Amino acid sequence: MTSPFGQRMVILLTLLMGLILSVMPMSAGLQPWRPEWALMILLYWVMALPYRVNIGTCFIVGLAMDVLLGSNLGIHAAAYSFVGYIFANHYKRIRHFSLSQQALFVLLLVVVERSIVYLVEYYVNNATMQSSYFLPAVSSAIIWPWLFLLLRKIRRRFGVV
Amino acid sequence: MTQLFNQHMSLRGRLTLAIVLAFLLLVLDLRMGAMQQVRMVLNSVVSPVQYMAAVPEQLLQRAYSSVRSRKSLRVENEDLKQEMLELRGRVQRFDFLAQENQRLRSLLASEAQLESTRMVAEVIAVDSDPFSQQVVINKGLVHGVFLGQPVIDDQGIVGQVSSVGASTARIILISDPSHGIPTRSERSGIRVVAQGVGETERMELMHVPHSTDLETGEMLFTSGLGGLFPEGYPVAVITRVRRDESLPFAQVEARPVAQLDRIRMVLLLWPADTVAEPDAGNIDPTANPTEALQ
Repeated sequence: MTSPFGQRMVILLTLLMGLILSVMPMSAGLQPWRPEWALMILLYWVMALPYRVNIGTCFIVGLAMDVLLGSNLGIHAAAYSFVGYIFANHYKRIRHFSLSQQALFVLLLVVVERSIVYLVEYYVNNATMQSSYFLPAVSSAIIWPWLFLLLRKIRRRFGVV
Repeated sequence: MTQLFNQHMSLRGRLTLAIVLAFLLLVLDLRMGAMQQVRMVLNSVVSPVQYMAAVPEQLLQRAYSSVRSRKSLRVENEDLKQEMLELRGRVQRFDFLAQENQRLRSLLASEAQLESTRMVAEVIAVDSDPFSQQVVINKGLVHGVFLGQPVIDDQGIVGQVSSVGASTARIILISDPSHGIPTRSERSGIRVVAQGVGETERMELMHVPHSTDLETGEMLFTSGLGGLFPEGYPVAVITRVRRDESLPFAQVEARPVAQLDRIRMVLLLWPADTVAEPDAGNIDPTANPTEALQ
């Protein structure tokens, strides 16, 4: 059992790792396939500890993404908050899903998140959609089961409850 | 994590609050002046994440350079020496021409154009956001970087600084859909605005009448109009001119000469006269664009 402060640090460090992975330079070929690391790690914590990590945290991580990506402030914050809300609302049901069902749900939510971002960008900056825009949803779903198992291991190892 | 929201608030209430807050931020951010300071602070806060994210690539590069063979290094060294000799030779000629140009300008009683200062910066992050074409460099306020500062690479114009943090700065590339750059064509001296479209290999020239004398393969240089970019740096090469009379303007496309999809090192430019007013700049009132090229 880790101290409450240590537990918070574990959550914070995994989220930081997610942010770093989200902006890490990648080769141009892999770039369109970059999974939504920060969002997935966020969703794991929302599902595991919905009373500690929920919309407030989602908002802050989303805002950090806005700054890191250089998009207009608030776009990712709103999208992450909304997706976090869906997850926090159904966390009991999602916990009982099989890993493949969870992955499908994650795919759906990444599509929702990216749609929100696209819609706002469209109204604000008149953005055009590229055909590869929803590829991260697929890669996120593929990564999810492994990420889930890894994060669960970390959570149990450090006794974060 | 910080408890931003009251623990007893319902989920729906929190969501509403978050959405309202995000909306407020968005509105404030769109009115650039209001949020520039906040953005600067936020940029400084997240810059460690950017530095961390760049570490693996830098380590890989270091590993690669340490295992390179002596022979390949020697070959590269030879090549670089040759290239330097060649460039030195050209610079001699350039210095002479610059002086002559200065003298001629003084004869014409037009204002002299001064040399600008430069600084090398390294790109530490490229945006994964598909809606914007931006990169982050490892120089910021402490190095004297300022908003709207022109950025070039060894080939041509890369873009301009769009926001500054303490030790990082964000550069908006000329290929960003919200970026337009005033240019002048090499051969005919026609002034056109080259607009980004969100692709690194393509730009569009705006509002070009059908009768305009532009050809494929023609080089576009910065015109210095607008006062942001200094005059005479290469921007793009025209790749396609389509004159469809049913459309109000000719469809002209160009390819940026800077290698926007694989920039690693860039040069920041400081104007020689550091007091650059947005509308004054280095526009020469006496020079006709066609004359200036001759």
